[in-house]
Amino acid sequence: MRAEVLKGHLDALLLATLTDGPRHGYAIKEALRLGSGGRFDLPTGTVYPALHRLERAGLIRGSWSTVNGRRRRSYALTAAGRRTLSDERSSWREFSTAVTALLGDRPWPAAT
Amino acid sequence: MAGGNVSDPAIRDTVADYLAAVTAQLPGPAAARVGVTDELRDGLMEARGLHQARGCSPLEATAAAIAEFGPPASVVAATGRLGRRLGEGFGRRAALAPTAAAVAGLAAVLADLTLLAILGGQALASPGSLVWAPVIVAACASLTRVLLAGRAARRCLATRATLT
Repeated sequence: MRAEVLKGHLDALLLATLTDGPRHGYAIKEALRLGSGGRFDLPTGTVYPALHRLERAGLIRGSWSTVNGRRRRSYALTAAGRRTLSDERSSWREFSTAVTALLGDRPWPAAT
Repeated sequence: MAGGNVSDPAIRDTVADYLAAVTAQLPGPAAARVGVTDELRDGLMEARGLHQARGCSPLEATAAAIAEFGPPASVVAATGRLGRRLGEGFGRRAALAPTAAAVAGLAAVLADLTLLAILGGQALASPGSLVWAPVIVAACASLTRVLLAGRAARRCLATRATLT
């Protein structure tokens, strides 16, 4: 999967991984990899800055905890994040329906 | 979850060296770098645990985790500006020191300008009563302090802006 194809959808995908509850950065990266059947294996270094950007935007909220003797930062969706994710899902459905219709292997409407 | 405490000194050193290399290149104050380093350490340990669960030896798993995160320079480049991204008031707390320094600088400017105004007023009202040599020295020292404190306050306010 080409990185530039994913680029415009990265924020929505990161938000989606938090639907069921908080996750830490590496777990988010792994959720994307496993959830996509290995297609979206992001460079780990790019995930953290993207999360920090979403946090600055108020879409996710980070909090520290201690696990196995080391500090862990976990992220959870905010109310604004849930709304954004819902909007992103709707617009993706519209977009993908249109693209599927256009790229599908079927006859085009007759030219006028 | 994968990745417990690291008891093998070789692994500990490898991880520590990698994190030190990242931290050394990160811009921003030390306090802000701690958050980034802690988050990366946790991620590295998780990745290491995962590679170990797939059958790697602890050392191989550590090397694989580090390779997965990429060269320190790439991590630094992707991380971007510090301070703005740690949330939960971290930036605001870190910004307290430059804020206090900026207030102190501005207070020094205000005090010196007041002093200079009083001296100037006295000099105009009764020029004969002043001993000029110490007045001139004090005035020059005050002007220098005003310039330096003003510059320091501007720098402090700029630092504060990057943290909040």
